[in-house]
Order: sequence, then C-alpha cells, then structure tokens
Amino acid sequence: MDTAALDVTTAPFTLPPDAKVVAVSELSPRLQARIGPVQACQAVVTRPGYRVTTRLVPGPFADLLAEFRSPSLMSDAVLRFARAHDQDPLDVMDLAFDGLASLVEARILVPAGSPDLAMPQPSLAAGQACAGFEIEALVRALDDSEVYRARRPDGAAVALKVAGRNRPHVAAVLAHEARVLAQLDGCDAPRLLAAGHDDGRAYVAMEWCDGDPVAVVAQRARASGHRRRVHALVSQVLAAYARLHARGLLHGDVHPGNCLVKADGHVVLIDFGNARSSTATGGLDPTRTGVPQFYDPLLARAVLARRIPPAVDAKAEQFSVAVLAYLLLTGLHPLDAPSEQRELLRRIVDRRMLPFTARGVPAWPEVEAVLRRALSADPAERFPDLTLCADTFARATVTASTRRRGASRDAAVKSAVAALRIDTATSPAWELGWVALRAALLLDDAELLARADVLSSDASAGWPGHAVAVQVARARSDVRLERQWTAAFLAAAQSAAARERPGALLAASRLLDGGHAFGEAESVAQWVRAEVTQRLARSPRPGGPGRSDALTTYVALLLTKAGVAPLQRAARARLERMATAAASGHAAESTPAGLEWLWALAHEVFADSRFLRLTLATTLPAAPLPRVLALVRRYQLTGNTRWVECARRVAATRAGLMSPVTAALIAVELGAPERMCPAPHMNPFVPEIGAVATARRSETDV
Amino acid sequence: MAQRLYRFGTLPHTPACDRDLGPDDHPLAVLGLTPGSAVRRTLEADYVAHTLPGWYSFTRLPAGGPAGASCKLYISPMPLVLGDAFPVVVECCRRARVRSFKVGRGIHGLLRPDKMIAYFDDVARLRDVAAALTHALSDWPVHGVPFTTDLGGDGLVSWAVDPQGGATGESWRAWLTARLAAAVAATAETPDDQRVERVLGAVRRLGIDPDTWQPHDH
Repeated sequence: MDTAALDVTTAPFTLPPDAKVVAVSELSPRLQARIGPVQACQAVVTRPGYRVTTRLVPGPFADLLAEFRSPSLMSDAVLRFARAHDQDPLDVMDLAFDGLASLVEARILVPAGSPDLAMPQPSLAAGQACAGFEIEALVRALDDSEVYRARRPDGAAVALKVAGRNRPHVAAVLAHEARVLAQLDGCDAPRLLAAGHDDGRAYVAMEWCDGDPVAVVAQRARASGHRRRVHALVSQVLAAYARLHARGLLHGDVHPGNCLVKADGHVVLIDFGNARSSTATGGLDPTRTGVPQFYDPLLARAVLARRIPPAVDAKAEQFSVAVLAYLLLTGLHPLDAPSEQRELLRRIVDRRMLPFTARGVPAWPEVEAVLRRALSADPAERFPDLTLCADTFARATVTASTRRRGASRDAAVKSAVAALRIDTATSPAWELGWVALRAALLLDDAELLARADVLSSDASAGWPGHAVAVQVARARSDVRLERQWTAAFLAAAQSAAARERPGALLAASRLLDGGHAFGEAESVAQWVRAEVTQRLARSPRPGGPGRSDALTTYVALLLTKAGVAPLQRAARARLERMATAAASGHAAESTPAGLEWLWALAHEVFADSRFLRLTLATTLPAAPLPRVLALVRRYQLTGNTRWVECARRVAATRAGLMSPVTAALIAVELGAPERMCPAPHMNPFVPEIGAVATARRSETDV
Repeated sequence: MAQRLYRFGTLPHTPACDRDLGPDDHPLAVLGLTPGSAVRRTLEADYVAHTLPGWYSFTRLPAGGPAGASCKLYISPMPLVLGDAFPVVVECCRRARVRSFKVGRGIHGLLRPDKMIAYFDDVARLRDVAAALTHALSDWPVHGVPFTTDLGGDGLVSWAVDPQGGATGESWRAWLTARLAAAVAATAETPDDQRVERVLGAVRRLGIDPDTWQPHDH
C-alpha cells in the first residue's frame, strides 16, 4: 500500500501483532550496554521480517503506541493517551506526530486492514514450479521479496530471488542485479542463470553458492586462536571487494550478510541490488541504503541531518569494507557502536577507530595501521583505492596465535599462582582468590577457577571478598551463586564503615559492568545511583578537587559505561573542572592519586583525545603494582606496545620489592595486558592500591 | 559441594568467549549449525533436533525402539577447536547411525567439560565410535570430563553408564558427585592428612575405582 497517499487524519492505524515494543529494562545486560545509558523507561520498537531498523523510543511514546494495539485514528489514540496521562492532547500530538509518521513510513504502524498487517509469508511451496525451477526451500522472506533454494531441471541448485506482488521498485532492483551479475560473469559473485518475470512477478536466478556467512567463518577462525587463519580470510574478503572495484563496480551494501565463504575458502559476494558504477562519481542518491553500522561518515552525517545522502563512491565503500574487516578480525565494531541509531551515527561522524587493545584484543600494529587509514574520517586520507588497501593488508606481519603466549610463560604464571599460600596476616584468602581467578581467565584453566572459587567462598570476608566471589561466580557461569554473592556484597557494602564506603561504592560500580540482570544487581545499581547523586549534591571541596571528587566522578563514568545510568550533569561539570585544572597545570593543593584512571575512563566514554593526553601526562605511581597497571592501561588506550615493555621492565626490576601475591598478579596481568582489569576492591584514588588494608585505609577527605 | 564437584572442569567464561564464540545462542555459528549450513543439512537429513534447557539434542530418524542401558560417550575437545571438531563428530555419529547425541547450548554449554554426549544401547558400539573419533580428532586440544572413564588415553573421549540404566533420570556424574560430596562431608572431623584416603575409600565401597571412575561391574 502506498502510505504516501494516505490521509493520516482519517485512516485508522494499528500496531501489527508481530511488532515488538520491549522496555529497555527488559533487555539483556549485553543489549542494554550496547544501547548505552538511556532512561530505563525507554523502549525498543521493531518488526521482525521487515526492512526496519530497531528504534529506541521514550517510555511515554511506547505507551502511546500501545493505544494502537487495536485500530485507532491517530487523533483518538492521542486523545485517550492525553486523558490517561493528564496532558494537553494538542501538546501530545505536537510532540508525537513526527515519531508516529516515521513508524508509519517504516510500516511498524500500518493502516487497519492493510496487507502490511500480516507477517511476511512465503508465497511458494516446496515442489512448486517458478520460472522453470523447482522450489526446494525458503531461505529468507521479507515483506517485499523472497529468496528460495531451488533446482534446475538438470538438478543443479539455484538461488531464486522473487519480488513480492505489486512491488515495482523491487522488480527494478532485481533487474539491476541481473545486469550486474551478467557483467561480473561469476567473478567473486554467483553466476547469473536467468532473469525476467513469472506470473507477473520479477525474479532473478543465480548459481547457488554453498557457503557459510563470512561472520560465521571469522568467528570460527577467531575461536581457534589462529591469527593466520583470520588474516587469510580477511585478506580474501578485501581482495574480492578490490577486484569488484577494479571492474568498475561498487557493491553499495557492504555488511557480513552479503559475503559468503565456500568450502574451498573462496569468498563470494552476493546481493548486488544496490551496486553501481564506480565511474559515476559524485552527486546525491536518495535511494542509498544499507546497514547503519557500515555507513561511512559522510552518509552518517547526511542521515543525521535528514539530507539526501551522497552517492556511494570507492572511498566511501573502502570505509565500509574496513569496518567489515575490523569486525571480522575482532568480533567487534571499530567504534563501540551502540544500538541506538542516532547515537551510532553520531559516533561514526565524530569518533575514530579504537585500537584493538581498547576492545580487549591483542595489539596487531601493522593490521591496525591499514584499518586506521581506510577508516580515516577524511576520504582523502584513505588509500587511493581498495586494491592498495587489500595489498597492504595482505603483506602485514601475522603473529601465530592470539591465545598462546608461550608454554613456558604460561607454566611460570601457573606455578606462581599455585605456590601462593594462605597467610591471612598478609593477604586474606579472597585476595589470593582474585589472583587465581585472573590466572584462570588468562590460561583458560578450569582448575585455577575451582581454586579461585574455594578461596573466595568465605561468608565472613566482607564486601571486598564478596565482590571477588561475584566475579568468580560470573566466570563459572553460575548465576545462582552470582546472585547469592551479589546480595551478600550489597549487604556488606551498605553496612560498611564510612571510611570504607568509597571503596565499596567503587567495587559496586565495577560489578555492574558485565553482570547478569537480576533483582540483586538492580538493587546494587539503585544503591550506587543514590550514593553518587548524594555525593554529587555536596559542595565541591575547597582548594580544588580531592579524592572524593575523583572517585565520585569515576563511579559516575563507570555507571555510564556499563549502561546503568546516563552521566549526571554535575559529574560532567566536576570532570571538566578537574580536567581544566590538570591541563593548565594548576593542580589542587594535594593532587589525588589515581587520576590517570579517571582520565582513561573519560577517554573511553567520550572518545575525547583531551582525556587521552591527560592520561599520558599523569605522573606514574611509584609503587610497583599501581605503576604496572597504569602502564598497561596506557597500552590498552593506545595500542602502543612500548607501554607493555615498560611495564615488564618495572616488574623485572622491582621483583624483589614485591610480595608473592603482587608478583603473581603482575605476572598474570602482563600475560594478557589487553585484558587487564583492576580488582573490584582496588581503589586507585588512595596512594597505594592492592591490599585490603589499603582499600580500607582511612580516607579522610572522602 | 555436590554442585561444585559436578561443575568442576568448567572453563572460565571470559569476554573473549563472548567475542569469539558469540553471545547467547550465537555459538550455533561456531558449531556450524546456522540455517543452511552443511552440518545442519547433514543433521536435518538423518536427525530430528530438539532444543532443551542447556542443550541441543539430535535423535536419529526414525526413532528407534526402547533404549537399552544408557551408555554415554563423552566427547570433550577444547572449545577453541569446536568449529572444526563438531562437523567431524556429526559425520562420525551419522555414519555409525548413533541413535542420539547432544551438544551444549550457549556459551556455558560449550565451556562445560561434558559438552558433547552420544548415547548408545551397548558398550561395544560405543567403543567403536570412540575409536573412530579418537582417530578423527587425534592431536586436538582436549578438555576432558571429570569422573568418567577415559577411553583414548588423553581424555578426549570417555564414557559412563547412568545409574539403573537411566531409569531414575539421574545422570552418572550427578549421582557420583552427590555421593562424593557426602563422603567429603562425612570426613569433616577427620585429620586433613587422612581425608582424601577416607573419601577414596568411600568411593571404592560404592564399587567404583577412583583412579578410572569405572564401576567394578563394568
């Protein structure tokens, strides 16, 4: 149905039964973290099987949408909603109209009685004939087209794309795809077999490519730990796109779903409906579409500004292909992409590629340099063409494995940890438990994990021990124990003495990053939010920021990073005040320790190079453990391996000054520095970190 | 204690697992079980799949007659090689016409040691398939299933029989770890240097060799 011809003032609309409106609070922690800090009352709206992107909407708008569960005029729905919420209907209509119109456009809200109300159903059955082919199985059904696996009369498998009835734009896309496939003649693409119309429906038939999606193959290669395998795969993908460009074509819709890998390892590109000539440069393209995660900055900027986007060109596609390469190499988007689309687009415009180490992946300098260039914001700074990009990537040095650091080093770490003996006079059992846990995570070692479990399962350990126990339960995938220890942690943290409260607050905020969503975790979140709000309401410390300011701001940033709460204005203001003071060299009377952790986290959250500069300019702590951790943090932020080399030198030269626990922990963290994280009980904002005695040290200005 | 013993051997869940194996049900991709994949097509031809809590289960078509003693073959490669190992296991089970087998669901299911289990009516066929798998998966990194009887010398394949032929619904490992935990608890007052031997003695009295975890009547 042509929605443009509708009179929205007289047509009743309805929300189809398959349209999903889900409160953000009901999403998994992983998805919540991807969406980023939003109000819990916000909701996501989506419709499976339709070419629509999941949208984030405010909570009240989701309530308004519920008024369309049965057919309703927009004006009636707004009126009912306004009455129920004691609001002015005209104000509501003003605020909501654009949002409702965009949902009508996306066919999430559809006219009552419209065919769009039904879920897409396959129109052809197995065994049925279509265009001379025998239908075998449905591969994919969307609202406007279907893809089938079919058979030719000679038995050969065929991929058959069929347009929906009354979808002239899809028919045009299929005809265009047929022309492109004919031009490619089977080079890195399926061979065209036939195209035309059958029973009034456009179709295109092409050779069936028996392959796995490239994301699946990459995932297997990464899981195997062999970088050569991942590198070879991505080299092939880049080369396939480069050959396409060399033939004068741009794909126009780069994403992992459009790239298959055959059993013999050959890469095949599919779905050329948006392909265009690479010689037709410049101009605008109102039909340009794609998957937002793979937009280049110019396209993202145009979509954000609601302008007609520029037509795809070779440099724009180079960017998209590099995003795909980064994704295949690491399993992650180069920009810590949130699910909320406008925020994602803003980040594509404003932010640049994160080093692998910032995503917990070991540095790969040569490969990262290639991607960084291809992902430059300015197209002029990218490679002149994709062929050079692919060739440079293929020549990059490949380290053998992401997992094997060397058997001797692994054995040394294991024996150092195994040799730790419980001596509660110097280190409580749970502190050894933390070292054992970190070693278990480093070495993928089940026995060390069991040891960590035993060492941290002390009901009388107090909040630091319980915080470690939560992390151990998480690593053991034991949700029951994770809940139990989370509840124990909260009880101990809330009853902690005033001088211990900051450390407990910090531990709580660390626990919120990456945990499961259950009632106990929400209780921890509520406690931390309330404490932060209370602390931010206090007047700033006279004489410049102190530990309290640094710690409170750090905790507020952690909540934002974990997707638990948006950053409060007061926290941002404190951060800016501290940053300005630090940048101008006017340090407070007593500069708080641990500021490098604050700047590093601020850089992670805002991708603001000012905070990175502050991190790198901070004086390194003197004690071995804080010094090593600070150096490793710099490595994580920059990907520069010299920071790890420095950290290793510190560990070697100060070995005699360290306790066995500290030495073991440093050995573990240096085993996989990209994955280093501070212990939940470690408080960097006191001069020395590491021991519980320090975590519980009197913090007079906190 | 019993639960801890039962879960012993589970590998740690790291952020790298989420990244490399995929979150939630995405490990399907690592196993090659995504729709349209070659492994899935092989399975769809001969097996019917069921999604169970914690498991994907595959039963051969047509379903056979009543099962005999529930002999279980554990196949335990490290998760990092599952992408290559699982298709081999599937092919081996298909050729041997294994009546049913299951694989752990989600990341946790793949991190547990008993991540793949094939079911047999008799030990002889179980041993044949174990030998074929040992040959096909030789030199692959092994995870290993605690409290089961090793068949290949490296822990890659091991076996057990559920108590009372599986009639009680209790698995061998759950049955054994419950008794082990009880034995450990019963030695709470025993001097430390004697506890292990006391617990092992209790296991022997159950008719089980604590070195091989094999019941004497096998």
